[in-house]
Amino acid sequence: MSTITKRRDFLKIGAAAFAGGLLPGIFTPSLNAASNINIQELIKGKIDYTKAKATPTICFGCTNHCGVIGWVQDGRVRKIEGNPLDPNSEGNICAKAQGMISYTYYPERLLYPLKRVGKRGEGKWKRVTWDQALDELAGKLRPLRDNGVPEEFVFHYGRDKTKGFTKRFTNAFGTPHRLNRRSICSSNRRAPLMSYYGRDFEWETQDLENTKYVVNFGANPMEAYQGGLFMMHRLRESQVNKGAKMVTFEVRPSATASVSEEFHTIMPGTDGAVAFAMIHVILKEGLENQEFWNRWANYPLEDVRTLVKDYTPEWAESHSGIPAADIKRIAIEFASAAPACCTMSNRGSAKHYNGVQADRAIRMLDVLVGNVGKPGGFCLSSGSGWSGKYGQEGLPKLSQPGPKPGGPKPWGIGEGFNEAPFKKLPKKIQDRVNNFPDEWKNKYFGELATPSEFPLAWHWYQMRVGQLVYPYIKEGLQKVSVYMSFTLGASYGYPEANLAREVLLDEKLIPYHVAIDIGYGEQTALADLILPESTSLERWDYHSTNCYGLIPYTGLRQPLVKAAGESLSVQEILRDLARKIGGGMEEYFAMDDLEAFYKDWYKNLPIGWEEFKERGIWQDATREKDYELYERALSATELEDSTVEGELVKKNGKTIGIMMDGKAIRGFPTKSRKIGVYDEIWPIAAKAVGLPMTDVNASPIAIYDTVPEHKDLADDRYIFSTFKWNVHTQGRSAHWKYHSEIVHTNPAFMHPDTGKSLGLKEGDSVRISVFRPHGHTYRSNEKEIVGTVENHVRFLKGMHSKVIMCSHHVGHSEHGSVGRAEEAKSTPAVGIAATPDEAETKALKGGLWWSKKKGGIGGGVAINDALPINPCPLTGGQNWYDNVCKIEKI
Amino acid sequence: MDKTGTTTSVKLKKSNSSKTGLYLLFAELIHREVNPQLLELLRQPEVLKGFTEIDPACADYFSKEWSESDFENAAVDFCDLFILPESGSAPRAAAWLEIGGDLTAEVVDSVVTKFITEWKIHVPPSYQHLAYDHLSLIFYICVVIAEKDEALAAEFEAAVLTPWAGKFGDSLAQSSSPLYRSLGIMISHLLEEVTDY
Repeated sequence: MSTITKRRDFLKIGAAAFAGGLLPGIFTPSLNAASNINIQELIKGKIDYTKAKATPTICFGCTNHCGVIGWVQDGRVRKIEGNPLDPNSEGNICAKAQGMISYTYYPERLLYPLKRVGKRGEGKWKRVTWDQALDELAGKLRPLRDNGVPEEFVFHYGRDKTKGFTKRFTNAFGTPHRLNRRSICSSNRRAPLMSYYGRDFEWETQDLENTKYVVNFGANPMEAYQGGLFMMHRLRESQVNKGAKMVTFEVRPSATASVSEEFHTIMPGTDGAVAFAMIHVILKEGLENQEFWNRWANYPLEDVRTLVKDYTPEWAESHSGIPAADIKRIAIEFASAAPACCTMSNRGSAKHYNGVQADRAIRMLDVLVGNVGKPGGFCLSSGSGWSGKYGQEGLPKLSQPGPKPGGPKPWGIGEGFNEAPFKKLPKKIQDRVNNFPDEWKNKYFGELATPSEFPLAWHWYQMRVGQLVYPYIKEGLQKVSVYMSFTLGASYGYPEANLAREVLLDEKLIPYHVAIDIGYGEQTALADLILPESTSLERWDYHSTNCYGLIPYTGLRQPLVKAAGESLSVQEILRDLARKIGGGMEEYFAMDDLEAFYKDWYKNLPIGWEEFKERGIWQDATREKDYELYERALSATELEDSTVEGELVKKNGKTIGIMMDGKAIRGFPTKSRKIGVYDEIWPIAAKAVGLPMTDVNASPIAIYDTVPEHKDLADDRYIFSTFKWNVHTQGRSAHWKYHSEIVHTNPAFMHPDTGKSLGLKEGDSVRISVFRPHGHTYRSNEKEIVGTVENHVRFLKGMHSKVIMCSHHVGHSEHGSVGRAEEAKSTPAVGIAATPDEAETKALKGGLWWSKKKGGIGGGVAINDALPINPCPLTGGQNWYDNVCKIEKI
Repeated sequence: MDKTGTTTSVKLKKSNSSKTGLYLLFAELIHREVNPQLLELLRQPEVLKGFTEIDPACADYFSKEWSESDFENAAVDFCDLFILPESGSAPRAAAWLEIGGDLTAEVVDSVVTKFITEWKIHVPPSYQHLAYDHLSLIFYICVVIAEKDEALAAEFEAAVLTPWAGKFGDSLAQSSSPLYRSLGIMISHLLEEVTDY
């Protein structure tokens, strides 16, 4: 190659190209060139608040979904602030809200539809137009509908906040396969809550503004928790200004532990033991609220006394390591603060083999002291989806505009059932389903959507068992012709993520994979077609959730700027795809103007659309707070044409209330209208799937049993656990540069004494090898190691000595320069070699001071390949924190 | 556009033709894959000669009979260099200005947007989906400004282009594709020189 260094030599090229006449054809002069523009002023880069426009929207940085205000200047979002009108966040936001700017403008974002060119996973792509992309995809999908096998289309999402828009698509298509990742996240804590309080209360809403005492079993709302920000700014206020106290049981000194008045290091999987011991103490001390229990619990208090007779503080200490004296004191303090006290729990207590029962025991504590629905207590607020359900009386109904397609038929034999796919299932599964109660038969849609071994994953609503999707596809339990990932990171974030990658790479198992996403992550890298999605700053969404201020509200996500590149919102993508598929699907997707569609959705709000857009939030602040909803009388309208059967008030075949003291009141939205402390659904489910009645999960009343693989835990075995940081959101945020600058690695934390016993010093490298679980779960009791993680150790006082812990979020093999901390170029299809020099010259990478190339610590290690798929019996919730491992110095 | 909204091409100032031609050529090559029209342009004798002087491999690359698979390979090159993450040659200011310095991609956005909106610049259809910090759009705006005010164009270029586009060119010059390698060399060298219209 010769080198031309003189500008004039190649200026000739410009002259020639110009003379060629093709280029001027693209040129159009300015129509208003006289306008003065002061470039020097502009490059100062300051926001001019007199010119910038403030528009409210809803954050998508994590599961909280705070109301925010975006300041837009010159067509670009420049700043994010909290929206003070949001009654949940009350104007507070966290670092993740600023991440929305990062992920909207980061230069490696996907902006064009891409079609795979080389082998799947090879990293060779070419740009295609939306028409080409959707024509190809529709060409794959249409025959499935035409041939009567729509179920061979599988839609699998990571986070879908369209409030039913994607379901509109899958229903119109006719597939039941709209899969999620609920089991990965929260099904083990939702199931006990719904068992206690009914389907409408999948998430509790503690009244932390008014509480005096909180006992926290392994929840981490300071860092990662649905509603964490809403909870903690209230609780911190109560702690600092009102003397409220929080006691936290955790396996590590989390950020939440750090703001607790007391933090107790607990053996993983033993939260239930402590809860039971607290119940034991409260009953022994006579601190229970008998009146409340007898009025609302569906189980005799005397039987609880029998149940917890042997669950003494000393017994709990032997399991949990928490001193008996502390358990006793905390129990007394908790009950003494009632009703202005509450429990808090999440993955720390629930993501274990015995986690469902642990959470049921924790829920029992609240009922026992009678704090349910009381000021400062354990409240319930039904804010999600304003359909007029329990707790939403008097609220305007907000419904996705029609026409809406009906759902697919359940799978089974007989009239009203879809027989063809059912008959393709193995006989063992058909027999199991045929023996299910009718209620379940009517909800059964095959093994991917409704795995028959885990009926309580779909008994209340569709929580799915996401981590079994790939093993089930591999086992041939469902033929897949088209698989669509939507904001899903299973290939990185699911347990045994290597299995997800293996299945996604196998074109016999998944002939066609289309991914809708914002970034090029591990999942998109294994697609055949990538459809770029607009970000939350660029699109519309309906928003409602439970309100920690205990008055329901609704909010609007609205576009602040036009979508970058050719990216489209998922609503636009599915709308356009439905129209391409045709065959009647297009009838449900006539919404040319999405703003008009959302305006229609909110049409029943008492304020106008423009005002709602300006406020971003609507709430009737004069509405009575959601205290003691269960004691509220049924209205005359509700009682019209109702009947009383036993103590239940029924209308049109549905139970709407309960007779108490001669009055018709609401009660709880359970079948008995009482709190389901005792629930036969657990043994019914156990019997239906062949789970032994001796298993902890089969009990109709909460009980305690040690996690199977933790029994007789050898001295040289440890528990490998994980956690999340407050600046990241699952595996989705690794490419948010400023967040990764704060947290970019995940050392293996352990107690200094543990390190000493293993002959380790700070910074040493270790190999962590994880074993399969015991108990009745996926591939349990197999002897081989699931996987290994090599990492360096950090000592941290406050850790449980049997625990080794790495964070989630980092250690990516994709997600661009920042996500991978430029470990190595993973998909070098063509072009530029990734040399150190190149890395130095590119500023995006130049700022990655933590990369190993620059002498930094690197971008962490992937841990999820080594963690076993471990669904909890019946619910399918992933038991993330049971993993027994061995640790070897490298 | 005329009053009916129809786009009309116009004659550009002849005195600017060299640089204008180069900038519009750069803009075209960086924002779209090689297609038969672009190939026709690249095969014009003087253009071909110029590219070949920079990189002799361009002679064969431009002149050969292009099959469907050649166009596809070029499209893969384009995607790998300009669309996918970690190409090392992202044609956006955000990839080069994000860290350090006074100028940020946010500012580049602001300046470009300001000219587009206040000057009512009609951006060609295929440029309308580009990010405001995309190099093709910046080259295009440079040409539009230069047609009216050369000094302002130089100021614009110095403010939003030269701080980073040379580095982009250096990086692109490492490409294995003769076309993009040559393009990288040209951009790199052009922006090393004092900019004047």
